[in-house]
Amino acid sequence: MRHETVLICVLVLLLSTIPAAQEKLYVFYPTTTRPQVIQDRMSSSFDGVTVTVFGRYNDFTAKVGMDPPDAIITKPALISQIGGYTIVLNAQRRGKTEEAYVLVSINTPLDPASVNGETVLGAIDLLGRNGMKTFSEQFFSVEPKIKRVTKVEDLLPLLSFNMAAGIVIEDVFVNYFKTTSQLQFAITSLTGSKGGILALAVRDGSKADKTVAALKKNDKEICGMFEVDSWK
Amino acid sequence: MEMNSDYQQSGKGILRSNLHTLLCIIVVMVSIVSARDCILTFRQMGKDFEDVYLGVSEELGSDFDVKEVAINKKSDVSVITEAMNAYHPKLVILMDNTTIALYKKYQATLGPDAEIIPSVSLMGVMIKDAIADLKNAAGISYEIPIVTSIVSLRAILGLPMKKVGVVNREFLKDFLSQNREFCKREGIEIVNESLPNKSDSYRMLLKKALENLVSKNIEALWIPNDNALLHPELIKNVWLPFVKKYRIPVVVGVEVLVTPKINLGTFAVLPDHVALGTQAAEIVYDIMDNGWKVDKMRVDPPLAVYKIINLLQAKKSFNVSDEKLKAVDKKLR
Repeated sequence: MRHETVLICVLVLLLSTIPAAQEKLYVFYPTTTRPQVIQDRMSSSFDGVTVTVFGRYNDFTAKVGMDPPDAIITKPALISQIGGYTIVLNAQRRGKTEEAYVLVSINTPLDPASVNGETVLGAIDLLGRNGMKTFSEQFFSVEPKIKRVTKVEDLLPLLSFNMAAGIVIEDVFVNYFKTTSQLQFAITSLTGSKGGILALAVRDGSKADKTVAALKKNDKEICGMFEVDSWK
Repeated sequence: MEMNSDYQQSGKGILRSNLHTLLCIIVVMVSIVSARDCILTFRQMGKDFEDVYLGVSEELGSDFDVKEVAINKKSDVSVITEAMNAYHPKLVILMDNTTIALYKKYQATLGPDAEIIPSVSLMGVMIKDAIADLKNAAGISYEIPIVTSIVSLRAILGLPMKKVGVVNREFLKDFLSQNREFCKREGIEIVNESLPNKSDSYRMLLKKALENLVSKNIEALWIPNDNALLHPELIKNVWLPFVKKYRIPVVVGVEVLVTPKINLGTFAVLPDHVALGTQAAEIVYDIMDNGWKVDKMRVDPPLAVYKIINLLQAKKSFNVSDEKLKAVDKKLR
């Protein structure tokens, strides 16, 4: 009896010294900051969370499929496309959780109503080939030819080399183009977007308390990397 | 009983025969459903080629049967012919000039009425010239446009860069004239010094050309990937003393030249190979949407680049901020 008690005490002691399991978080949201920079910064603040930041839609979706993490941070549209994850926090920008898109063209504004099946428009690949077709439907009555790129900056050559009539971006990225390039940009607001800016979603049946707590701290630098103000 | 037994035997036979037919129908239906168009890539071995192929196959894999065939310097046209006969591709992707040259030889063996399968060429030097006599052809140039590199450097260093100097050999004339137009739209003027395609006195010519550029008040220097002008002897005796003397930001196209050990370039801009593959896949979809035809030969510039900075030089000579470095892929210390 004494032996058993000692054994239980030793086991309890051993268990208490084993560190709690690391949560796994995958992030996919192309911005002007390199994924590695975001990953390093988040890893240093998110205790008990292994953070992996992806720069490409294909890499992100493949990894989520092969090795599902406890939580993901990405566009709500992609969260619903992936399935099996529930949104627990939404990112806010200027007090709103809904994204705002604009159409950027060179010299003269591009009327969204003039966009037709032959119009080539650039966009960041957030949802894959089929997903981006659906994405464009919310803005245009006729589906344009969407030219997908990986990074925000890759959209600039599309305009510089006249490879696209315009680019569709979140309004928060307009400043990047204005400060980087001397081309004369014309900005046209797009109505019809129903999506959220960015969200944290937890895998069904899983927990991501540490991730939620870390994100709720609303670290200014991390929020800035996602171009958002806070998480709620 | 016997009759009954025969009847049972016969019933089993019919059942077996029907099952066999059903299985055959299922196999045929499955093969019809899964018979996807083939996109065939001919490529060399090596990391860069693998990365491009990764971009291609990831993007096209869900819609096409994506295959690849290795090409090396010893390969002859029979490699192309055999693969074309085996896979019957809807489109071919050709990586590098050797592969393009072989494919041209293959096209030459086809009869006048043969169907010309569309091609997308990439990773070759001067792709536009290389595919000029290929029919139904599109491509992506491998050379990073000067405007792409200089606009990136301008944003990182926060310097105006209105005049960019280039020393080139004559064969780059067309490339420069194209780039001049794009740079102009960004408020950048290209000032170049042209050297002959062949010479025994590049050391003297290069030195003089660089001094001429300085006298024209250039604010940055763009060095082309030209083996003749980047000969180790010229790097040691001309380029490095020049960079040390004038402290002008230098853009190069290979990583080794921005290592602090060599300390020639400030900034290297290279193709992003996986993204190049994705860009090629986009062209494949465009061609498919156009009924597998390329109306007019099309050569796009590469859209995505990989940026490497010589951190030591960038900090010491140009006081670059950490904030600006967030847009750089690799920092060499």
